[in-house]
Amino acid sequence: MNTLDDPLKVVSGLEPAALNSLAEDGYRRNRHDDLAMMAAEGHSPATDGSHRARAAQRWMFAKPRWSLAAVGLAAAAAAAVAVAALPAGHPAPVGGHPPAASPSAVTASGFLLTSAEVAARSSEAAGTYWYVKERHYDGTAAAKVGKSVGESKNKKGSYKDFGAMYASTEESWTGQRRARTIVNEDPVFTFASEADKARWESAGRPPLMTAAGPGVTKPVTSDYTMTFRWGVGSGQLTLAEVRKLPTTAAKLHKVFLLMWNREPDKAGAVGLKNPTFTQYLVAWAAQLLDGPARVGTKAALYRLLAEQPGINLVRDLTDPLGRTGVGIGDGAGDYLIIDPGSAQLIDYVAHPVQPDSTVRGVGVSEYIASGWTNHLGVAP
Amino acid sequence: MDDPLERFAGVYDTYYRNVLRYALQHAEQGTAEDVASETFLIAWRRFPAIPEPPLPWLLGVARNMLRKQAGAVQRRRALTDRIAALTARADGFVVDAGDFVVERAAALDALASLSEHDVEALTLVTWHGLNPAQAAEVVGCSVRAFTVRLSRARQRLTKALQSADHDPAQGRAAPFRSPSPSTMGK
Repeated sequence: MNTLDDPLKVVSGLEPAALNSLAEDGYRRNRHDDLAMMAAEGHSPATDGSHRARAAQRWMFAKPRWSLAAVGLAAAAAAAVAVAALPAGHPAPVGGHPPAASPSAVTASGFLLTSAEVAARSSEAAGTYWYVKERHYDGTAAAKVGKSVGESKNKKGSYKDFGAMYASTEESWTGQRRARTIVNEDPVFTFASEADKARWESAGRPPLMTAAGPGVTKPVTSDYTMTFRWGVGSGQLTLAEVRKLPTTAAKLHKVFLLMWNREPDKAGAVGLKNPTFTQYLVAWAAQLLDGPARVGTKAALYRLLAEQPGINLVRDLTDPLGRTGVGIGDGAGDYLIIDPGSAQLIDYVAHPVQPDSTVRGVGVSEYIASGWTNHLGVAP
Repeated sequence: MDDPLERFAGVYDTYYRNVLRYALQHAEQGTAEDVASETFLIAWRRFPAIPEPPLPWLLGVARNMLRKQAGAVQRRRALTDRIAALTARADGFVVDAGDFVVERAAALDALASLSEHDVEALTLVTWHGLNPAQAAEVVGCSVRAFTVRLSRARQRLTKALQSADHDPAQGRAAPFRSPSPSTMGK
């Protein structure tokens, strides 16, 4: 008789042996560089206790993975980009171009092709740092107020769960080898219900986690001296590699298809159990349309998306900032929201949406501004 | 030992593999290594003001980073797909849990039928060797809440395994349910 007294034994038996070998391998390869990075940074013990863990969607480390050379298309990269003057102020305002991508062209394919034409008419520019200002809406929970080395051992910690949401703005400057982030700007906390808020208040308003640490209400600036990448799953491109991406749909398709075929963990890369190539492309679009890709690449990406099956269109979506755009869905409930006037990506929404509605709640990312600048800390 | 980096290297040497093992459970190798390295860089910036023992705090930092990394496309993670991807033929066809023997595929199916929170609770106390208090710190809930979560996860897994045992022809389980905002950890 097959009797089970403790299911934890089954879980233990499922532990892959590869975890230990991969961890050991990673430790041996990374130890020297990691400690060297710390040594180069020097040591200034944190005095404010702020938790500086910021895991932005594009922050990755200088470990070579896919490169255009690896996919054999470096020679296919276009000639030198014509460098225009940096924008004097803000990047091109949303909706500031002659409207061409009318959502009355009801098919997703039609809208995407029109967006390609609009995008292709944008001014090409370049600079040292790609700047992005974005606002995210995430779930959060009460943080621990606990003891640490040096604190009184009598001080005890406590945790509470609440249905809290945290919205904050982030700015980032990303160069080829340097970057700066400012996180936790304009933080706002809300609760799923009045009852949840009452529980939090009754508990003494314990500090809620933010991008800058528990209960931190001020922005935190972090500087990095490493290479950051844009990408999905194993496919990770440096700023220079993003700039070299092809400007035709056919060649861009070849690049992404090669990365897709080489991706060892497609489900993990896209976040779906059985993702399609279309969904993989939409994930890339979320990275590149608000990224430092050339105008031609963005236009080509729109044309490539227009050719894909399984994409749906949802009209008249308004974001929390009051901007209205067209939703392009990947068939699994995630949406890019695109301004039809400029073909700029203005939002990413990780939940289903309804036409003629306002998108809100956990899983919304608003892209407020982006562009090139030559100075860290200075917006375009 | 007065040099802070030398002292911190001891923390790194002791816990890096633990953090990387945790990250590998949730992300492909390159991303997992980046998360592990960034976790220790953050710890270095706070050192020596990191909690003692540091492992639950380190895993909590990595967990937060992994959730935000997933937030790039703001999706739920197929945790058992990662486990399946890491499982090699050498891991065996059968899981032997004392008097209970089950095919690895059936056991994975049973695990896949649970919520992401359930799987996380079960793997934190088994694969990562944390006690309930430490695991509660990682996920950002009270010890009592975690103990209840673990107990329910064990019950649900037991039911799923026994159901599979009685009906080996049972099809693949339903996919994960995303955690609700009210239960999302730090």
